[in-house]
Amino acid sequence: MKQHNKKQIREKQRGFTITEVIVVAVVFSLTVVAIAGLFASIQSTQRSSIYLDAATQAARAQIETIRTSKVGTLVVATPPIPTQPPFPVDFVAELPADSPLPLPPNRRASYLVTVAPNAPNSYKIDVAVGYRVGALWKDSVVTAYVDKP
Amino acid sequence: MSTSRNNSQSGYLIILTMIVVFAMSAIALSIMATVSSKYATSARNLITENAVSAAEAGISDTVQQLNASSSFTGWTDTTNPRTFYDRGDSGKATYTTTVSAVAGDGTQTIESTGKVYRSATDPLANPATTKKVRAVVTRQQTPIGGSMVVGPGGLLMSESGKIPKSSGGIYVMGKIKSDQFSSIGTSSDPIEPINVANISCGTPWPQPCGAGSQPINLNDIFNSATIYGTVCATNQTDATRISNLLPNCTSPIIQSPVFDKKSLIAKIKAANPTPVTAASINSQCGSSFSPTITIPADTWITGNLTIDQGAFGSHCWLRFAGDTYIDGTLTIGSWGSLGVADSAGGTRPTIMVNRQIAASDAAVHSGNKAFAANASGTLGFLISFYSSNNSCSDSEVIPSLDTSTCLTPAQAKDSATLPAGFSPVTTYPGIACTGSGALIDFSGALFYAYYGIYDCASSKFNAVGGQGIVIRFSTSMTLLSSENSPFGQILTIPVFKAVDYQQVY
Repeated sequence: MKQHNKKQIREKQRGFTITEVIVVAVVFSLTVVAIAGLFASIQSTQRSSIYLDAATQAARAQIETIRTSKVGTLVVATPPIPTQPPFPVDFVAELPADSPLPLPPNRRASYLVTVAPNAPNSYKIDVAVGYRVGALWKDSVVTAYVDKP
Repeated sequence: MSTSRNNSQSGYLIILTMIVVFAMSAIALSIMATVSSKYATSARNLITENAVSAAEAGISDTVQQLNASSSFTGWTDTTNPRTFYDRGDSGKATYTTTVSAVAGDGTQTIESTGKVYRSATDPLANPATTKKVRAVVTRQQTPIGGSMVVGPGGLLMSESGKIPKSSGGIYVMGKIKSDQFSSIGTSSDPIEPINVANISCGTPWPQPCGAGSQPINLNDIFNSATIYGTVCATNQTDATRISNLLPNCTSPIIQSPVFDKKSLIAKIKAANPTPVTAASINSQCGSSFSPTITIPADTWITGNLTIDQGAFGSHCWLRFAGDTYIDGTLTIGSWGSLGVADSAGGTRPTIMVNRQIAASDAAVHSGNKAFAANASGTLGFLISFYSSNNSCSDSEVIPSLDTSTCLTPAQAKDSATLPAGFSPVTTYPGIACTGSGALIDFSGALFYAYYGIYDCASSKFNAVGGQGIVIRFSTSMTLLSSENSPFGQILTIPVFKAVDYQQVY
């Protein structure tokens, strides 16, 4: 009886079945692959978020620069007026290298000056700061009225 | 007992794996959710930025409307809000505003609500975000801008009349009629901005002309008249020969500028209470050979002053050393010349004339200009109060900063009326220069017709303004190149300016 019990215990402790190992390996592999993909997506989204913030802040900063130091020299765009970036006045050279937030090397920055249709004593300024994602450009476009001097 | 425990341990690896996989997935998804939320926040920041800008634009728009009419109550129609931008599928932004009086001194509170929509087709009730901005504005007298300020009488350009250059803008409260070979701006030097408010209709005059009324008319048989510049003209849809007509643009309406005649006359009379008669100056001209007469600062002249021939067929030059008040007419003959005295240095004198300045063939035989700057290059202000109502023209207390006119609306309309082409109607030119066609050189002067019009053919001025302007024959009007607010020293308008600003959450 004792011998029989010992044999039974030995049978139960002999390790994993091949099926068990295969199932675990497959499940684990699939999960690791899925999570790796998820982390790649997380990284991409995180980067996009930083770029979007940087582009928006750069566009807002340019509005303030125009308001304080460029408003006297603005030239109103002549037709045809573009409706999408890039706009006629390029200021990519004025973008800081990595402040306040980094933008990728593939970047663009431009603005459009028109007379505000509702308030002709103001300029309407559309500032677009963008970065390239694959073949596409993503732009943050900030619009503001700036009073004429 | 021992056997049972060992049986329960079978397959524990897969359970453990599931737990680990679940934990890893939960962590990854949690990070993903956090990062996605961060990205959404970044995208929302951009939308919020534009919503605040839309609300601020509403403040700017409303302030400009208040400058036109201090009774403006705001853009309150929430079912038809003002469009800030419309980028189709990329979104749209709008604003509405309300205006409420704070105190009896003209202080107003403007509350502006900016809304951003993710798509232009989104319903008005579902903005992506809404931001409110509140500003307190007060009324202040501000020097006028623009190199040419024209009232509701409008601007008539004819024959070869040209405005080839202007460092500042042109503001026309009425309409523009330009025909034959006249032009405003050039292709290489467009004028920016040219605002045409289209307010020259209705009763009490002037009221905005309705939709369908084109404020700019460049059409005649020559089809040559052209405007080069950025033009904002209310209700204008015909862009023929206008280099850059802003579509659907509403020009700001500014109140007529005010000249503080009352204060200047009080200052002159305080300095010199006894007037000089015009006749005494007239006789000084005729009794000397080629005299140059200097009028001291703060001189009060009564009667009609005529500057023409000196003794023995010589010229007569008159130079102003400072502010002068002429209670009568001023005539500049072909042998006469006006100007700024060298002793005035860099201070521009203001010469007020209650009635008309007549300058037909002025100074053409004088060996000098009709109005000359001094050796320092200082210009003089010439302002005429000629109108259809003589008692108003002669008033010494109106206009003032408190009361801008003593004319009825009908008298104001008569005074601002332009000649109708080649069939002149009764007009009230503050300066009249019909003549033989010789160029009349007023390049040392800035002229403003306070109630009447400017109609000085074949002349040359540094800047002109008035309730109506006629530029015709070979008149070439180069508006001041060295400054863009030439009248700002003497003419002001009430302007609302923000003194307090806050975002409302």
